[in-house]
Amino acid sequence: MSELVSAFLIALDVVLSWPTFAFVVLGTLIGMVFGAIPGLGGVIALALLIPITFGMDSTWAMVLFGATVGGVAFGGSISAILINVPGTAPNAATLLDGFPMSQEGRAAEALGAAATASALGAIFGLVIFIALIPVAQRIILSFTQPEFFWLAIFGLTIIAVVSRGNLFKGIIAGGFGLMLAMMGYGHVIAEVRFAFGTQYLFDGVDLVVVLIGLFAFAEVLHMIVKGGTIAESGEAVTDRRGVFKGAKEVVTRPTLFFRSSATGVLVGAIPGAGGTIATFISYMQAQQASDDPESFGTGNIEGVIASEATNDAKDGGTFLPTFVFGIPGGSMTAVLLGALTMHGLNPGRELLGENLHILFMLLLALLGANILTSSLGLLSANHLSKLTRVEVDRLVAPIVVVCFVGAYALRLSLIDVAVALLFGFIGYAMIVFDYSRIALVLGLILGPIAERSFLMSLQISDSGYLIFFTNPISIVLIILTITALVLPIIQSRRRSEGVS
Amino acid sequence: MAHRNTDRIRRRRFLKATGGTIAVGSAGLAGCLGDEEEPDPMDADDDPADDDPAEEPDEDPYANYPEDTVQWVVPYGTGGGFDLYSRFAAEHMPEFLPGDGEIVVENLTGAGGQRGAEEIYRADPDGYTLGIYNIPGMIASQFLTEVEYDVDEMSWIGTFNQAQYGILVPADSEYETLEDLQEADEISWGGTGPGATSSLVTFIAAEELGIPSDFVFGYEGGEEARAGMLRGEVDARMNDFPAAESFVRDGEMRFIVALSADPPDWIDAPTVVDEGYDDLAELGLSFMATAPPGIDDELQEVLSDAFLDALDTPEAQEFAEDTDRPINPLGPEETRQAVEAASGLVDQYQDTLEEHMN
Repeated sequence: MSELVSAFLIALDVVLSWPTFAFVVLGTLIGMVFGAIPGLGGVIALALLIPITFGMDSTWAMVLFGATVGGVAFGGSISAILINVPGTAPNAATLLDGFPMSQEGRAAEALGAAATASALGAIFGLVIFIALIPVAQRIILSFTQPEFFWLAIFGLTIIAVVSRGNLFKGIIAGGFGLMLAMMGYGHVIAEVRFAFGTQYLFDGVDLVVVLIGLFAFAEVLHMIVKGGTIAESGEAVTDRRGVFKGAKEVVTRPTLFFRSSATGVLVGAIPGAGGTIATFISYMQAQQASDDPESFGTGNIEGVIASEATNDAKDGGTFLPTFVFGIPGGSMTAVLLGALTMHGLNPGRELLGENLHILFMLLLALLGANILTSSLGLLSANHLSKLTRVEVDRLVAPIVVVCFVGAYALRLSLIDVAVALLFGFIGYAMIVFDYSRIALVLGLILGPIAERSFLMSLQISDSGYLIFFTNPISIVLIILTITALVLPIIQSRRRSEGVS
Repeated sequence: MAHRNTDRIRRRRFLKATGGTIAVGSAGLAGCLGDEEEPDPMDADDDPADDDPAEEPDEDPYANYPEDTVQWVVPYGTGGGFDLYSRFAAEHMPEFLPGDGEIVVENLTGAGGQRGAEEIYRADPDGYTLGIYNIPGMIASQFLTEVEYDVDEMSWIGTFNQAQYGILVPADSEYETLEDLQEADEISWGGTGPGATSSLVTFIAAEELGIPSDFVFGYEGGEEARAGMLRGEVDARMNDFPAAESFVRDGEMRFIVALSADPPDWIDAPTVVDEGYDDLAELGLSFMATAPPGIDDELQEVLSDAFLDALDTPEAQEFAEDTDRPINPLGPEETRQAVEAASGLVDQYQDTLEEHMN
């Protein structure tokens, strides 16, 4: 215990000193910018930083990385709320209610709530992470392939939630996502599917490219056609009232906040799947527990709070498999691991033992960045929300340029840019005909996980299906899935009975 | 009536928006397309010695190499072994080269390394595109699938290290010795995919050693495969020494046998040589620095010397210790021979490998 405390104090001392603190600020800014620009995000930010920090002092490098990760989380919510474009995949849950709030002229309120939930969620996530380090190994090792499969299935039920009433269309969209997920080299089967002989499709379609197209470009097309401004109604709020109102909403909802953050950490700790679907699971929980589930998706601030608290708490969770085992919790932690290794910090006992203070430095930098970004967010929310009052014609060109850059920066491939454009048109069609794009994204993300864990489970059990039902965690997940599907039906029936 | 008009207006707007975007987008893209495939636009024919007629034009054309930025292509992602070795070389080789130009790493990922490998193969042999290859990984791809590079034609600069493998099991595994494995009903091996080098080594070794084997593929990386082993999903894994070091030292895992003639000190297990399988000690994953086919002999020498010099520095030792990536360099001739030997091995076992790939 005392080692924990002393490592923490050493780290705190270093991080708050100059010039180390300057790297915290620098990382925060980098993270915020990359997080806000659709398609860029933490992965690219870290990937770009790795070579830059190659010869740098390890302490500064760690602090820089930690702060960047911290800045990205909230940065992504800004574009999600203001222009309906998720900065990173988990932010997609934020736009479900965040963007409608912007349309009602309540952008500042949404940003205020998001900033507050983010900062508090990050703190919570890190505290829980530290508390769980001793049992981390047991947690991570208790999830085997069948459990990953059921988790993916559970994740797919969220499609029902985001379809907002038209389940049939949601399933079509999700199904299309699953189809796209099948393209490319399947590692388990060792064969290339649907690549049509091209090298580009050997790896299938890239999630980020699809996100940029489906959300950013499609939104741009939508803006061009619709014209006007993003905020369609509501009066312009010229003072800080809106922002603080949003912030207060978080504080007055402790149950929602703690439940969302806890979900974030726990789901985030599950290697692989955790990072992206954690926010959706939280959103779904918030809707189920709410008195007014129908309003979710139309601008209920609880949806924003749930998503944002989870988004930041989950980072703490993803660190468990990452730092204990070297198993990345998500693509960002995969790059982070590379960065750590480069500086001689290898996961496992060493990092959690003699190098614990360095780990804490990274975490403190992350925490600092979260607080900084949220503060910046709170301060600038007012000005940022003015974007929603600008004629969209003026927003279109910068967004398109930024998206081209984002799509190209990923793999230095122009074909990616073309594919993003293609999905832009697909996305626009989905907007016009009211199909959920998030359902498509969920299918795209969860499809490979479900298929891979399914096939691997069968390999492990030598084709026996019993393996899917032997682990108690599997049973829990199955129950959760059924509940998630059945509960809305029960609720709506109870409500209609209540009315009559 | 009004409804139909609005529809018409909406349709017109949609077409305008879509059409306009396509037009502008195409114009923008067309401007860029030409440059995509080209590496640094350094004209190697521009020899400064030509400008001065008093100088002998053929005297050491590489006296100022590199004059401009050299692109070093890594066919894999940032942070991995290939990336780390490459970044070290990019940082330290220029010190040993006469010119002022830098070496910049570019990660061109895709198709399991194929994209980057082809990019290096296709580039001009002017010294301004270099890269790193995975041997025998890329040889296997060449034999078993359709690729647009040829390992035999590449200009080899040198080898960073050959990572060797051992049979890794959890510390509490029921299997203690090689005999235990050979006498088991079936050993399940955890791997990422049949094309991975660790898998290739497993196929060859399992056949040679007579270990009845079953394979579980699909893990997203060595770390996950090792975790899978700890969870009891698979019995064993053919693992490279560096990646297993911290787990072995911590007592969580152990090697049953090392596929090496001279494994590191911290490995407390018999070698394949001890057990009488000398050939298997040749297997390993080599990180090889390379250049496009057709490089000038003199330029090759300049590059190889700089490469070996850079890896002989105290910084190299520090790098190896920090990153757990050992540096045991080989020169160009040894490298070329190693490539030939590896090709022979893949050829010898082609049937076995093909069987597993399907």
